Amino acid sequence: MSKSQATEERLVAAARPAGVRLGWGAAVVAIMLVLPFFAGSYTLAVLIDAFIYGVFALSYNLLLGYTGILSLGHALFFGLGAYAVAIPVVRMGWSLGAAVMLGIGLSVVTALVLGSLSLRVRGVYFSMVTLAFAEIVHVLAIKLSRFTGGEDGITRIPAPAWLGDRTSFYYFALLVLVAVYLGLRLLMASPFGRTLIAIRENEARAAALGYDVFAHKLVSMVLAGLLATVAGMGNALFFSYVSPSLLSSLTTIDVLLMTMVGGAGTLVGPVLGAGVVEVLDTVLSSFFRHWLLVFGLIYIVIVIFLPKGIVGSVADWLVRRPAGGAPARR
Amino acid sequence: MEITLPLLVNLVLNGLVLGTLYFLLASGLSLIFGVMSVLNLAHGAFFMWGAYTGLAVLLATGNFWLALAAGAAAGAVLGVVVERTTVRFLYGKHLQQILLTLGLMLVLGELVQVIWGPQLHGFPVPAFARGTVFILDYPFARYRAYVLGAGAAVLVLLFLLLHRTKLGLIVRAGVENPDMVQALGVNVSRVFTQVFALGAALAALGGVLAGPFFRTAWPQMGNDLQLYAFIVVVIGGLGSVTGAAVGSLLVGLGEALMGFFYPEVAMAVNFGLMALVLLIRPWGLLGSEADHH
Repeated sequence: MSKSQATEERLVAAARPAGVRLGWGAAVVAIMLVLPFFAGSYTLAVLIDAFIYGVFALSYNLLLGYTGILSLGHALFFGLGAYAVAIPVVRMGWSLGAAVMLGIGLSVVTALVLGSLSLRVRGVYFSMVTLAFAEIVHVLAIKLSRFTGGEDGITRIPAPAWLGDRTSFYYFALLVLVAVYLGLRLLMASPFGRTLIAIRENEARAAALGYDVFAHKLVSMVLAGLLATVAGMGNALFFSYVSPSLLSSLTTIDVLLMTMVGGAGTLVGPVLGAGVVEVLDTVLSSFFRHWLLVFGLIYIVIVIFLPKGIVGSVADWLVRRPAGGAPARR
Repeated sequence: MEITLPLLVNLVLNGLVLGTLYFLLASGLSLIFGVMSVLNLAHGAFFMWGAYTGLAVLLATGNFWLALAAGAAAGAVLGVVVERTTVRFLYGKHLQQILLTLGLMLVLGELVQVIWGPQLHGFPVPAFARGTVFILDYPFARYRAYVLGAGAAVLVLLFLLLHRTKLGLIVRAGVENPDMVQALGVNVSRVFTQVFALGAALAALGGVLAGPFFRTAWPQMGNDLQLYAFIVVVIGGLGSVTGAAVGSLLVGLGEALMGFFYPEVAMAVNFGLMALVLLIRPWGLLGSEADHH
């Protein structure tokens, strides 16, 4: 997350008129909109999963890509969303609406408490503390089987009637993803978003300029937690099943890989990364028994050779390629 | 159940045994961070490789001492290989380091399953340490007494290594001020490899010792135990071996006491301990304030 990268982002953005970029986005959304008329049910399922993880990855990117903090406990919020739907609806007979409200409230409170504790330390300490908190909750979710169903999880979570068939769920998931994407775009263009990037680039300077670094990071954690909670709720409703593995560090590693593959600090990156990893996962896991081995190797290769991810690397290439010429800033 | 003194003694002894296992993991984690500022998320994998290697040697030879030596050696070799081939290229790049060790954690963890399969393996208690002794009328597994002895021995040896040898001097100086150590002409690169190997060997030794304690080796044991090591270093302070020892004792005792009275929520006590430390001394009980920035 260097300064030069930020500069390059600006250069690339300047190289193409805003209308063209918006056109590409609209085209992709248009294709996605007509896809259910051609694609089979299985393809739709993979895409819905990718959309849900896309929202999750966007939330993670808010922390890693834009605030510059590496949380290893983000699965906590994903799992919280899933269980906040599952436990009240299945075990206590609540309506879905009430459960969603409860989940959102819990998510904000949890983010505020854990954020104010873990943001007291920085760097790798923060990563370790968030990992430890999330894993403790993971273990508790396994042990407190009276509420959570233990290792077996909770099954048969009813989705509301209007999300009953796969095509409706597909459109709803797409709608949420696009809304979150556009919302984050607005957020990052706002003074708050600009300040987050300033903190990422140089925390000491942002603090010296009078910005409340702690408060900005905390708000970023609350927002990221909220979006991850929403994604977790979607996951629970789509699979109508939750299990403690949603809370495990492997879930965080998944979303971290998606963000890194696509490109942290870009908005398209995490969504693209979620799609790529989801498809790779679906395809490769049917070929390899030890898929995690491949997964880990991909991880290491990306970290060492492609630290900027697909979108970051393509942006680099666009800037360097002669035809693009040194783009003048308008 | 009524709390009596003999019961309390028994629980404390069991807490110390758990603490010993946590210490073997946490001390290496802490040393590696202290000297190289690397948070090694693959540390639990070294622990697990130690356990599985030890088990293989134990089953082949029937000699537990040989299993201990082989496990520790496997850890050291793995540590050298990992440091030389990957970690060393990313010193100073914290984000990439964490991601790299995450990848290593996945690869090393999955390799164990490739070789030994995903199932649980029974880990026999060595013949000389079977049976129970009675301490104040409470049964105490004889093997656990051996673990306590081993833990004390490692603590003393580690202390001697850090305070009586040249490597120890360099390591302690490196924790204090790495730039100065390099400026004074120490071959830092070699010391880094040695410290990484030492940390990995300690973890792997812990893995072999943990085998007969849990009576099993399982493919998630590395990550399961690594969690405790993280909690320990958050409480004790990264970079401090004494901090790792104190943290291990606290977490081990908390686990044993809470596990006896409220087994379902034993884990919550660690949550509370960590929260408390973060509130009063964010850099850990024995960590140094300067390091946590």
